[in-house]
Formats: sequence, C-alpha cells, structure tokens
Amino acid sequence: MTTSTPVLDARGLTKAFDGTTVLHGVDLQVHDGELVAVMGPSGSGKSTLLHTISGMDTMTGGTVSVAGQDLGSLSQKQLARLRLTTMGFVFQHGHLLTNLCLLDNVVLPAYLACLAPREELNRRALALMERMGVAGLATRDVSEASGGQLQRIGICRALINEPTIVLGDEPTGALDSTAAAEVLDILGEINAEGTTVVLVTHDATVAARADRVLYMVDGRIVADRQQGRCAAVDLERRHGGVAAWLTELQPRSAVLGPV
Amino acid sequence: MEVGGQVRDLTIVGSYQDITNGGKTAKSVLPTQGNDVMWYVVGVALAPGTDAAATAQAYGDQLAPAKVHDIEQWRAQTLRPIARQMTVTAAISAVVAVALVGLMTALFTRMILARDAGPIAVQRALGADDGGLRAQYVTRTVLVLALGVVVGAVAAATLGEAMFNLMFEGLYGGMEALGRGTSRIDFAVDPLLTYVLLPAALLGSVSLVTAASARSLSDARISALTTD
Ligand SMILES: Nc1ncnc2c1ncn2[C@@H]1O[C@H](COP(=O)(O)OP(=O)(O)OP(=O)(O)O)[C@@H](O)[C@H]1O
Ligand SMILES: [Mg+2]
Repeated sequence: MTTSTPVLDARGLTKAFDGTTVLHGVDLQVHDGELVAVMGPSGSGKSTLLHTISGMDTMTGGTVSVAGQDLGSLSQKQLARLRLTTMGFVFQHGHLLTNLCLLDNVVLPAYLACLAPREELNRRALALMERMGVAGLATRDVSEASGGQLQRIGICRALINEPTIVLGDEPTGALDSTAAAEVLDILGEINAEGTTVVLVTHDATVAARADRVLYMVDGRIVADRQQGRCAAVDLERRHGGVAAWLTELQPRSAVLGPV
Repeated sequence: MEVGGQVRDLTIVGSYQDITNGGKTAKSVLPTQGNDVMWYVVGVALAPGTDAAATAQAYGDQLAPAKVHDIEQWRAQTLRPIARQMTVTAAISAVVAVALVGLMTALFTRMILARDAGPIAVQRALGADDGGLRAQYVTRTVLVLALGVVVGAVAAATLGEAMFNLMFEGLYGGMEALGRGTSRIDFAVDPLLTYVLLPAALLGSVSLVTAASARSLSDARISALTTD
C-alpha cells in the first residue's frame, strides 16, 4: 500500500495569513485507502491544512499534489475541477445550501461537474441517500432535518462524484455521541470500500477508528502514528481509553497542550 | 391691448401650443389700419409637382423687399436651434441613464454578493468554477434587465407621450395648467434607437458591470466563514 504513489503528497507546505505563519513546512503523504485522523489543539492549523491541501486556499510555500496533479501548476478553473471530481468534503456545520432542498444539495457537485443528465444524477443521489438512510428527506428543506441527518446528507454530497479522497473537517463535531457514531460508521464503510479518508477531529473516538493519527501543534505535525485499526482498538482496551492512548503521543512534543 | 390707437378688452377663449413662445400662444384676427402693421405673413399653397425653391426664388425677385421662404427652410430657421438643443439634451439623458443603471447594478451586485457570501464560499469549496458562478449572476441581472426593458418600452410607447405633455404643461403653466391639453407634443420614435440601440447600451452596461463586480466572489472563502 505504501509503495504506491500517494493520493495526497504535501511537501514543505507553508501557509501564512497576513504575515503570520500558520503552517510551518508540513510534509504529509496519504496513500490510497488510508483512514487518517488529524488531531491537535484549537488553532494548531488543522483546518488550514485541509484548506490548503485541497486548493480551497492558496498555499504560501511548498508543493501539494493530489491524485498525481501538482496543485501549484493548475489554473483556478482546473483546480476547481480537480476538487469537484476527485475530492469530497464534509464540514462540521454541514454547510448545505439553504435555498436548495436536500436532494438538490446532494446533486449540486454533480450538477456543477456536468457529467450526466439530471435524471441520472437524481437517481444516483437517491441511491446514496437510500444507503445513508435519508432518502425520505429528499424534498425537505435544510431546516427540516436533524444535525445527524444533515451530516449524512453532507456525506452523500461528498460522494456524489465518486471522489478518490474524502476530506472531513470535524464531521462529528456538532453531533451527539449516537449520531457521531453513525456518521463514523458510514465514513468507515466508505473507507473500507477503498476511498481514502482524512478527518480533522477533536474526538478521540474518531481517532480510535483511524489506522493513522497525526497530531498537530502550532502548524507542525508533531506525531504521526501509523498502525492497524485493530492495534488502535487494542491500545484503547489495554490503556483503558483513548485519552490514555493519546498521551503516549505526548513525549514526542514538548509543547502539547490539553487535547 | 391697444389696437389702432384704441384700447380693447380681449378675452382669451383658447390657446395653442407654441414651444418657441413660452409654451402657448393665442391669436386674434382684428381689423387694422395698414400703417401700424409690422408685417404680414401670407401663406402660399403650391400646386402638386411645383418646384418650391424655384418658385420662392421667382417670388422673391418680383416682390422685394418681401422675404419669400420655402416652408421647409423657414421651419429649419426657426426650429433648428431648439431641435438641436433637444437632441443634445436627449443624448445626455440617455448617457446619464445608462451610467446610472451601471452604478445601480454595481451597488446591487455587491449587495447580493455580500448576502450570498456563505453559499458562494461553500460552492467554491466544493469545486464550483468562479467563471460559472459569475455567469449565474450575470444571467440573473440580464434577465431582470430584459424584463425592465420590455416593461419600460411598453410604458413609454403607451403612457410616454401623455406623461411628457403633462410634465410640459406643468413646467410652463404651473399646477392649474395640468391636463388642460395645452401641450400636444407627439413623439417621433426612432425604432432603431428606441428598441435596439438603447436596450443594447443598457445590456452592455449591465452585463459588463455585473461581470466586473462579480469578480469579487473569488474572495469568498470557506476559511473565512464564521461557524453559526
Ligand atoms: N482566514 C484566516 N485569516 C487569518 N488567520 C486565519 C484564517 N484562518 C485561520 N487563521 C489562523 O490560523 C491559525 C490556525 O487556524 P485553523 O482554523 O487552521 O486551526 P484549527 O486547528 O482548525 O482550529 P480548530 O480546532 O479551532 O478548528 C489560527 O491561529 C487562526 O487564527
Ligand atoms: Mg478547524
């Protein structure tokens, strides 16, 4: 798995906002089929990392390539196209469009990509929504669904163009533990089917399901634990909880704050 | 009024529109002694097919010091300066209107973009192309403009003259003159200008301004979105 060209390859990635450097030369390779969790204290640059590796935000320095395409060499239009067709996004607050019904929200990226006629897109969207257990909500407005349901709609939207990589910024951050577990199950299934998944999270139970956990502090990756999912679960059992397992990461960095 | 050394009371029973004389004029036909008359105007109707210029020339030679004019020439001499001024005024109003429409479009587009900053940021994050998003806004304003041009043209063609004449009456005669029918200016509509060139100018102004203003939608970033 690790010998293939990475789906995501960031080297020396830096990002500064108005002269304040937020990412300090991040190196990150994510391989096909991995489920990666990115953790770290608030303000450590996790969201900024997601935004720059996906080309939503411009990087200040370094190189990033996704699915073999060097982001720096692409025009704005090509970059948007790459994001549309190879990446799926799930946000903490859903970020669904309130002027569209839920079905249209799911269809939106496919519609923007103009890949198939509308009926075909609707069929594909409904099949996805069926799978996520939210097909009954197709004609509803954003205001007429629960947070957990909206998040599942968001996942459907992320998957509609069959992306190679799904990026999530705290996809369970606004959910209670039951809804969060359901959403994680779904993301786990998607990953099991071969889609690479990168999740930014504060939630240790999310990290426990990942087969690789990155820990960021002040714009640097200070820990990178790569191990089988079973190993993570084992560790959890042995140490009586994920929090304890995570403290194992701490000696690697002197500046770690409370999680 | 003093006529032939005699003061007479005249009652105005009707007036007609005369834009060269402060809006309206009244005429009366009164017997006079020839000496006090300043000038006579004699209208001559020519038989069809007569060469007006040549006839005027011939009469002028025979009847000096009378001035003989072809009516076309006379009209040009009396009305041309006013016509020229009105053309300039109309041209300036058209330019100002197009500029104002452009300005309003710019402000309006900015307002809409500010309102839509969230959805725009989300769509850009998902991979919507900036050009495509811009095109949506241009299409929308152009549709509104098309509706406005149709409604405006129909209103101008039906109510335009009446409104203009009403305004003219008010302008010269004050409130009490409104609706008296003193002003009866007919519009000479140039179809090319009215229904093609002016709408085209508006279309150009509106679509260019919208496209230019909508460039700023590239500033909408998901990272700048405040979470609820
Ligand atoms: N658009 C922006 N303009 C200026 N500074 C920004 C912007 N976005 C993020 N930052 C700064 O960059 C740093 C990293 O922010 P980022 O959102 O990436 O952190 P995070 O790890 O995702 O935090 P959280 O866990 O709270 O979401 C912060 O100091 C933040 O203030
Ligand atoms: Mg964040």
